Amino acid sequence: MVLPVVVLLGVFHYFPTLGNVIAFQDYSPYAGIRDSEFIGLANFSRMFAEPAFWTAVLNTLSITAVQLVFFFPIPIALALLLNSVLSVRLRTLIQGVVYLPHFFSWVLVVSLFQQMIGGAGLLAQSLRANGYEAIDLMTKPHTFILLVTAQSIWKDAGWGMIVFLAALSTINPALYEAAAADGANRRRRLWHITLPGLRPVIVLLLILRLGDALTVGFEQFILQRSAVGGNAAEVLDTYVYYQGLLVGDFGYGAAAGLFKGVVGLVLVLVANRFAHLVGEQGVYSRS
Amino acid sequence: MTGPVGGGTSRRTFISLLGAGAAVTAGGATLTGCSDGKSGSSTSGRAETEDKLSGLLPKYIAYESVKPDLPGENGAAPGFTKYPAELKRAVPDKAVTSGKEVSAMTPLWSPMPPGLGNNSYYDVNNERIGAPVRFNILNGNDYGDKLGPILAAGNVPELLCVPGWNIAGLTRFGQAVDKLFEDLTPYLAGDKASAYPMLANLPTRAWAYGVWNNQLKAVPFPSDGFPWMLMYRKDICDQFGAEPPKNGDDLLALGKQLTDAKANRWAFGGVSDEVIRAFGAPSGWRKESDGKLVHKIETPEFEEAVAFIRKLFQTGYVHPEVVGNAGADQNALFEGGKLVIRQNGLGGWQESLQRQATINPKYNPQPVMPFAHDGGTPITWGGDPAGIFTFVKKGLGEARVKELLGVLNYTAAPFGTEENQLYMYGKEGTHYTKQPSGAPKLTALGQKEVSQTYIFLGGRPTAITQSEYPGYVQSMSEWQNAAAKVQEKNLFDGIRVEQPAKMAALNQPFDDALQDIFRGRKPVSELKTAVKAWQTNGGNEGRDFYAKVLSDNGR
Repeated sequence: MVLPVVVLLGVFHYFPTLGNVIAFQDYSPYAGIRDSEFIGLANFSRMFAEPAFWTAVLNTLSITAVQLVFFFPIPIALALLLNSVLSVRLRTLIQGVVYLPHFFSWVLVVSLFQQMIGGAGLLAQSLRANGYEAIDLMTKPHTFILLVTAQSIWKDAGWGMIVFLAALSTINPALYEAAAADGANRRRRLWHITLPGLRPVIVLLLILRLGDALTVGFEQFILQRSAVGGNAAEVLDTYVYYQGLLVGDFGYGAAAGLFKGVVGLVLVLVANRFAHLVGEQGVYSRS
Repeated sequence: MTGPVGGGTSRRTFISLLGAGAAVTAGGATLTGCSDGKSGSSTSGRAETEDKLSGLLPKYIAYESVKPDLPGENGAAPGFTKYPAELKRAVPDKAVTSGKEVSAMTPLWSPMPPGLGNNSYYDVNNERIGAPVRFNILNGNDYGDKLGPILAAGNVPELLCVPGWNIAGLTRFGQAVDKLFEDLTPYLAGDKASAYPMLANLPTRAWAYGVWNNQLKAVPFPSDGFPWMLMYRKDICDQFGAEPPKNGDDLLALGKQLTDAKANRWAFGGVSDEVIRAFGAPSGWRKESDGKLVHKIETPEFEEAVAFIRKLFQTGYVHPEVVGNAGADQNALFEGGKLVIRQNGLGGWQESLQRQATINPKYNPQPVMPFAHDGGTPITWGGDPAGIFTFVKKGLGEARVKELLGVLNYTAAPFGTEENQLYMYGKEGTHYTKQPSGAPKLTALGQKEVSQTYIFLGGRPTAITQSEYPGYVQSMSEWQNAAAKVQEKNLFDGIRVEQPAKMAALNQPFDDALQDIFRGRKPVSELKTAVKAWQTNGGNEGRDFYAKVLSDNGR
């Protein structure tokens, strides 16, 4: 039964992974891996010497940090709120509404934000119509990080909630009843029953998120790049796209991708270790 | 039809800004670096004089269908103010005798037409060609973004259209050409071209630009060489009694006069290249009096122009969508009257007339005559004699290559031929009707189906022909003649130069910095930093390469 999965993984994942060898080559797609020249770590040393690369890394990490603080807790809060809604019909309706944006493409989300708070959007035009100075929130590089976080929340908070809702449903209702009978109020029940029940899931997702610290999305940034400039909107993935894929320098792009993978692995290991220290199972454990 | 048609300050813009003169190549004796064909040197370029290439090029055999009544001087395109009463049949036989479907990929700067099977305009042309041509049409604005990966994957159609300004952003394009595309020399060199009379009618100078690695590799789309023209909405300017600008101060005054944010109208879209030109910066390299080559972005004129453009942005005269997105769809904004002045490729004018013909009869865009920022004598940028190229996929076999060249022969039919009329306007009575002047007018079906598809296969001699739009031919001809008169001298005139591949990677970082400066996110002083980075990352190597091309040719 496992065999087909192993074969699939082998063919579509592990075998292509070998292609990373081009990170050590002056790779030309027209010559192929076999005939491209090996240049050792030249791609890496060029990359580490490139200020634009570090800008991209820094942007990516800042976005991850901000999203960890502002985005990550929101699905949890949403799940708790929704869990307390008793009417099934109202609950389904709210769920439907908050899930929906997840299925919108980034193009649509960005256009929507543009139409609302862009320079010629609803907000700016109504300010102008009323004699105020118009503001354009879409083109401010300094607040770009908050803008993308807001967009991510609007788009994906509802979707992220699903896992937590599922976790909530596994908490034994008898615990709540017993606690209530013992005189615990809402807040105490939340603190002593709900949150501990959610803790393994929260830790697991946190670790996985950390592993993806250098991945913050691609489309969202490429779409808004010209609005705020490459300095604010360049993340690792767009850097790879522009400096690797578009100009045809695949070896260089692969080097940046490899760097990303290695950093992600280290972060996962560290976070997992930390999870063990606080007594959680984490992603895996040595048994 | 020619030149970069789309948005104003996009990445593509900067590529054209890096100098059309740096498009492409020929290999061989004089200057070669990259010949192992393996990993390929990523820094060398190539150059060859056109005379030396003559053995590869088709022999020119003139085919005149109609005489132009507005001759083009100094290299400007000739103008035809009316359509001939009788169209000539230039290609009597079907090109594709096997009837096998032809695959092709082309850019388009207009809405997608209905596809093969639902499009009778395709059908009438394919009937004459002898086989269905299946177009894979991509948005012209990001054609280059798709092209690199497609080439790298080696997954090319039988006929591939490649705009020259996209080539400038691709490293190893020379290798791709070697690996993926058919050598057309055995089919077209010298007298052999006489089998394709419409191709033989293309100018030899344009053909020279179809040479890569010492082989004739592509059919050129001849070009008048002007990358940009500044357009203004005359109908809107007239409402406010505004006159087209004649210097930099006029531009600022117009910005103030025409911008009315409350009325949802801004004076400018993308104008940066035209401003840079008006300040007198060269289109690519310039030779200083001490013999040193200086790139446009290193000149003081460029810096002044950048500061000026920044002022336009800072004072709020540029449409917010263009501020927000350098690649914004300015066609819609311009045609909708949301912005009044913008730069565009020359072909954009006539395309917009077609789009607006039934929507807004008052729509009247006109070109601004080239001006210098101080009101003195302007320069205009000169380009290559060919700007777009069509390649034939390698390894299809002799019979098929001949068929495909036959398709390109069909699409090369010039103004005044049945074929030209057919691929430009479709079939009389179905897609267009004849006006009393003899000019075609698209029907509702024509508006829906007729699109610029066949036109991006191969090319035809430059000509200004769309007299169905009153005054267009005269106005365009006047502009081109004026612009050609003051066109800068191209240092590399008559030499085919392949830009060193390393320079391709310089565009994006520099353009990023430039856009940041325009939009006030970085001070003008940052320009120096960006130029320095450009120089050390490959710009200086580029300079040495181009200097050697010049000295090798005794210039």
